[in-house]
Amino acid sequence: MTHARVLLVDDEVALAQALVRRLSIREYRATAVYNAADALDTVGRDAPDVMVIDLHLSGMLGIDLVRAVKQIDPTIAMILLSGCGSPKTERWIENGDILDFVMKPVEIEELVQKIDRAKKEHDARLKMKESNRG
Amino acid sequence: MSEEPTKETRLASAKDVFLSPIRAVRAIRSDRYKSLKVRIFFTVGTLAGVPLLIVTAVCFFWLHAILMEDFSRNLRWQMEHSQEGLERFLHERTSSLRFIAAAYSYDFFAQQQSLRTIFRKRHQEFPELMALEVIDAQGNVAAHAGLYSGIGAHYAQHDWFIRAKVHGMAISQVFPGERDLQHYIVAIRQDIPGRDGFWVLRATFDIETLNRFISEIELGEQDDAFLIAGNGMLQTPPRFHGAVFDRLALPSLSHQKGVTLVKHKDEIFGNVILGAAKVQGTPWTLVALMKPATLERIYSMLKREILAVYLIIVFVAIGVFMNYRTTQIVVNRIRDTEKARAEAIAHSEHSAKLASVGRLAAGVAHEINNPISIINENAGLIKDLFEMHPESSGCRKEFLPLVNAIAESVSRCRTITHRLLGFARRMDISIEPVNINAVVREVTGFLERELMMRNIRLELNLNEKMPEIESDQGLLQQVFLNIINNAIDAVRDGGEIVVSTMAAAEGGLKIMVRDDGEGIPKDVMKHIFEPFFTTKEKGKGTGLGLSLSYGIIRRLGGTIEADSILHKGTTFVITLPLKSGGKGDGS
Repeated sequence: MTHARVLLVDDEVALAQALVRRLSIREYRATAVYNAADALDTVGRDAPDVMVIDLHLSGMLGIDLVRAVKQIDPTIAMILLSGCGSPKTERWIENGDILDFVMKPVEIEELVQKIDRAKKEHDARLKMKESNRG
Repeated sequence: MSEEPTKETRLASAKDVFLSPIRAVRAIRSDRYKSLKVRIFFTVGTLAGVPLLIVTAVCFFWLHAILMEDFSRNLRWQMEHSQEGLERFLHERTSSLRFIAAAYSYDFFAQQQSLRTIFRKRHQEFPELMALEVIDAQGNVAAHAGLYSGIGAHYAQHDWFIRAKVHGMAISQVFPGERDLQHYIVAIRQDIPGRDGFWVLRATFDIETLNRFISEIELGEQDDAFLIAGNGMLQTPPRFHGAVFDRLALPSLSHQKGVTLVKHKDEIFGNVILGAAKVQGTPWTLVALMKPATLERIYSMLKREILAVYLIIVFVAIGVFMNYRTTQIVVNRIRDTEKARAEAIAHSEHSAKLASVGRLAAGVAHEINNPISIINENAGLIKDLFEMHPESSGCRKEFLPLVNAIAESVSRCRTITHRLLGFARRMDISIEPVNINAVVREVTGFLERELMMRNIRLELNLNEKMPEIESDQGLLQQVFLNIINNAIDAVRDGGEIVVSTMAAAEGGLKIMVRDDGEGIPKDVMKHIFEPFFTTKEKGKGTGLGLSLSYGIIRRLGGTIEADSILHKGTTFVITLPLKSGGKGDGS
């Protein structure tokens, strides 16, 4: 399995950059953007396999970005970064809005595990999409 | 050593009060329920007692007036009786004398012997008759017959003689007499037929007869009655007011027929009723000075009606007692209400404080979470870089433990911020039907292993008839887990924990968790719901469990309270509404 292309969306620049580097060391093709608009732009140009989105973005809630991305490319698997767990995030997972969520501060092993699972999901979705087309 | 305060200490305490008026005011305030009691007691007592006193006074004066009237009527009746008796007696005597004078001629009477015969007969009939004398028109004594030898007197200028000459009959004042025999005179004028002349028959009477009529008036111990002449001279011996012939200063008495009663201030008896009755045809007035003994009569009446008096006293005593009790009840109610109000204010202040401290803690945790994440990722990155470059093994040896220490600290911070944010403040409530008993069973199920290991007895008194409530199952699990965990920490090995569920009196449910641990001291009790407050040893507890539980229960619309007795145990009581409003402050 090739390593996933990951797009990180977090308005905490230092956090996003550190995570991108750590994922890169682990051979993920990770990039970071720091707001929702850039995120949508990147998705439009070069869709990643997996997106890791912070729940509290400046000017927008992460979940709204998730829904917007779904409109553009439903195959992208998304993980929410959140300061805390809540029944809402559970509900979002049940609804299929997001694949999973990770609590801050992030344990890198946990994140990597979840990204790998998301990549599999993305691949499965892609396959289904192609077979549907075919 | 003497127990009494010395002069210095007394001065010092007085100075304290003087220097610290606030302390003095406080001392008075703490006593204010007592003063309120006194005030209410006397106000109600006055309100009830004054009308009673007025009615009593009115009754007393009314009774007094009736008794006074009764007394006056009685006095008037007695005096009339006495006066009439006296008048009748004098009338009889004058009639008898008139008859004798008319029966014989002047010449007959002028003979000493025949007058003596008549006197003897009359004296046998009227023992008070002392002498008879025949007096000619010039006032000379023509004949004398009596108990004592006559004195050759000349009466022309005597008042009684002049009056008898003019009116045909006269009764004199009382005279001392030559031999100290007090007497009065009845004189009858008798005309001599055909000669245009007259003579006078003079009869002398002892005053004993008068005394007899006076003594018919019933007198009390301090009463007096006597005859008095127009000039105020006493005519009969009084009991207290001097002797016969003394002059008395009495108010001017009316000369009307019948009895006159006036109030009089007597120099011996004080306030008395003075009764006066003019004895017709004489110079005398019958006088009685009597004390109206109404007070004594009321007293004797009360003594007779001893049962009524007893009942009145009992009634008044019951009234006073009821007033006392009512005052006590009212003041106690006021005190209880004020106390409850003060407690409610203190309670709500405490709740508000806990809520704001909770919010502050959650806010701080949220703000700190991001920088901690950055520290965490950068520390992680440093570690990654060292692992990527094995050639830097010298630095690596030194730096890796440092980086690990950073990661360790971040981990500790994470535990705290996650607990703060995750459980209470940053979570939304998801309301669903919850069976409380099921939640309790589930939570105690988690703890079974520890309970067994420490040999702690867990008793579940679950009321199975309770309805399901609309609440948040996950949050309630957190709360029960916290509280039962605390109970497990509190009891010694082999201790006991009782979890009971029941319907709450005010609707909703009540869950009680009781342990038989060491209990919580009062000064600690105040803080148990505050975040970061813990009595557990360092590293064992974050001091957030009860604070979060408090926040959760409040958000679910319930209450949580703790009650503890030192060395006996602690009971947590949670009440939950049937329907949680979910009044959460999610942000």
